[in-house]
Amino acid sequence: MRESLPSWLASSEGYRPGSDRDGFLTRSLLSMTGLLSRLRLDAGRPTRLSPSAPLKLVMGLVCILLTSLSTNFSFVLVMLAIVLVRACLLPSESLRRVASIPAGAAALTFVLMLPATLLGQSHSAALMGTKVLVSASLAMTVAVTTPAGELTGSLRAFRVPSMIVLTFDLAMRAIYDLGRVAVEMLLALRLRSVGRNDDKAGSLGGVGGMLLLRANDSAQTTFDAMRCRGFDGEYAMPPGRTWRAVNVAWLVALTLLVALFVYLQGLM
Amino acid sequence: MHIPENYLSPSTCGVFGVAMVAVWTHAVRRVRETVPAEKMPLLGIAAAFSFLAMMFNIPLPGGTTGHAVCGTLVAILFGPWSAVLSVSIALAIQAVFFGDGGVLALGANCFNMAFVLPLVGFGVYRFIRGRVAGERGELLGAAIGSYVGINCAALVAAIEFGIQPLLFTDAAGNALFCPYPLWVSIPAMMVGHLTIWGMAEVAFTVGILAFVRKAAPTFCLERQDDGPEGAAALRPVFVLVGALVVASPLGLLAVGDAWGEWGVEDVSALVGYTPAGMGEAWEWQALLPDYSLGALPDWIGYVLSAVIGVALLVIIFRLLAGLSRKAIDFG
Amino acid sequence: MTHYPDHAAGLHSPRHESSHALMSFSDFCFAYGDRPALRHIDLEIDAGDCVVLMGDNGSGKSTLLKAMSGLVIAQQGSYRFDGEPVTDRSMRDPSFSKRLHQHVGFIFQDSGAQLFCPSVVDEIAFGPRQMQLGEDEVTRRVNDVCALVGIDDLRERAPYTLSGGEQKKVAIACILSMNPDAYCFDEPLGGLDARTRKWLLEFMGELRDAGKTLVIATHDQSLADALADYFVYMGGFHEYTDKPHVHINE
Repeated sequence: MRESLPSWLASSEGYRPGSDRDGFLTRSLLSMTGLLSRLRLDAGRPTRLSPSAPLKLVMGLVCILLTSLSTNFSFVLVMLAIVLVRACLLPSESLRRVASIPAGAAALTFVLMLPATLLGQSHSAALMGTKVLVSASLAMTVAVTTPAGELTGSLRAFRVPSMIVLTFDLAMRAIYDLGRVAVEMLLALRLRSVGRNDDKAGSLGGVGGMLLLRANDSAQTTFDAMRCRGFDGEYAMPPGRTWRAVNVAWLVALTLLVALFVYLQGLM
Repeated sequence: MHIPENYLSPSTCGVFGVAMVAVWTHAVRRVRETVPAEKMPLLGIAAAFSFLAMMFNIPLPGGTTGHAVCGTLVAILFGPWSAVLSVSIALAIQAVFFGDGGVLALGANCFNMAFVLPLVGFGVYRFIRGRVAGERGELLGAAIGSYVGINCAALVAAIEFGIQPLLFTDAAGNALFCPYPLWVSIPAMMVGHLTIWGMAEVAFTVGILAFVRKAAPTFCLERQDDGPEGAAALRPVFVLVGALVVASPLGLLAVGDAWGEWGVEDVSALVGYTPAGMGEAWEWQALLPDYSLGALPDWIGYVLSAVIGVALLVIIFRLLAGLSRKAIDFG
Repeated sequence: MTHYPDHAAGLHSPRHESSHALMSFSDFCFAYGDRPALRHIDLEIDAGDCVVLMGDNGSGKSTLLKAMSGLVIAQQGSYRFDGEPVTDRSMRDPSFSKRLHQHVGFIFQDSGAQLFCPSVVDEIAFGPRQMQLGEDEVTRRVNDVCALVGIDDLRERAPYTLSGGEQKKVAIACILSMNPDAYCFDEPLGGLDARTRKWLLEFMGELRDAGKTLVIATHDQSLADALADYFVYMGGFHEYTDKPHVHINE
């Protein structure tokens, strides 16, 4: 095993690389995978006034449904006011996410509806854009204020089979873990990008392939660990109390909102 | 004092727009230097005060209405350049979402209410503050500063109105845009602002300033070493904003338009012809035109508009705070 | 290559008489998000030094190694490699960043994450091929390195299928083939069996004797004693020898 160092290794390389552009390959990919690993699995902690997760899910869905169905602009504006006030009260990081994605979606909608505006139907454009903004904000707000585990857990309240809930949970954890591993690998690739890479596709394929192999490994290891702790196919949810006293108030509010919708629709 | 769409010629709007771009650039630089990121959301609250104040219409005998602006208040609390930005954003929201003030005329409106008003007001305030000590000096400076500020702004707006028929007429001598010349526009605007609306501005400014200084001493740019910290300390301010939002329908009690804020039909009724620049020109379709919702009673529209406006301002400034790089303390 | 022990103040760094140091940190500060990881680092490492970084978990050893390779950029202060500043802008110049990455070889703690080619031979040839050395030279280097590191029998294997110790050897091999001037090791002995550890210790000694610069982050005191010219203690780590040392990032 032992040999003295060869001559080329014992001296300095004196390497002067050319300046052809090659950096973008890993930099843009790094930022993309960085996004994956930033997926916050612990977003949002319930406060005293929050509804329980299943109710939050139902309320979110009902509000989105009502907003989409409403032909009365006034109702959409009432929903907009509600969404904006809720957004005011979010913590900064959550606010940034809730602001950026719906804003982007609404902007895209306005652009798509541009022909309508130019033909004189600007009212429809405004209505559509606002609806998209409100619906997207509602969805983001629910996602951002509920820990991921509680969201998937709330599916149990709707009699969704436990296998599906288990799949969701494991998938989210896998995305997070693999995001981190992908970043490490791309960093390694970047560190070894010392010259011209004539087979960029091969390198990327190598990283992607390794990721897949690791994912497979991780799945196997997780399964082994679960078996060791007595898993036999049933994903038992903790019998925690999902009903909170404050849910009553939220249900009343939801009923009032539905009543408002019906009233305003009746005015049209 | 909001100049509606098509009252100023495009060239006038362009001139003031260009001027404001320079002002805004300077203001952004100054605000970035002086306002720490964690204080930026408070700027949003200050902008909300300005926004709400502009919704409280106050009638003048004779049928017109006006409103306070509170630009000097924001300047005193956060510095003149912060006021430039805050009031500009409030005006922009009013123009885009509520159709209050023209979108093309935004440059001129910002020049009057977001530049002249706070800077003049702050300058007078500082002058008086330097000569009269203590709390009395501050309130006196606020009172006189805001009064002078709003009147200067009204004067500039009146001049902008008044030169239109002098510069832009068609072949027959009819005005293309605002039909009232200087010797009409200046007295018409100044009468109200020298009296009732100036007083309203003073009342709002001094009243809110005194309240904030007493109830929430940490509501300012500098770090306070004594006094409660954080959201609890600012609760009185939030309560005040909430109260103003709920009380905003009072602004509806004043029936009638402010001088210079008429619709196109009103103008033709007043002068007997429709100025050509107004009749066929482009109109921006606002989300809640004139703060109303159509089907629902006016007061609901007003409160909803107030809620949406204030929430938007708070969100915008919180997002701006996130954009400015927080200085990490490396110890 | 004499080095001086630090003064009571704790931040004086050993200095070489001639020209500039190979790696030079001046008031270097870096934070992950809003959590400071490196505070006011003043450190100079000369060509040929063998430096051991010691500190508890979370004291910033890995971050400092990343800084040396240009993976993290100073948020305050500066880092110079061979006299040239390493900044966002300078790293955007492809020829500078490639030169830096070739000069500083980084062996990760988790060697598995460093390997992404289908076979060990491809892995080792990756660097030299990028440097456009010509297939003959590439083959020669691959052969030399395989013999040196003792992985001749693993040449055609997929790196993914290797054991932890074998992967560490392959990772070292594929950095060796680029012939960097400086080697950064992040916890090199973790997870290795006794025989591989012994081999690695001897190998790092040979690299040091050949004049390469080594920066090793480790908990292992026996490695430290065997190899270090001087120590860099991070995060208030308690010194345990009389050997020359500096304290940083307290």
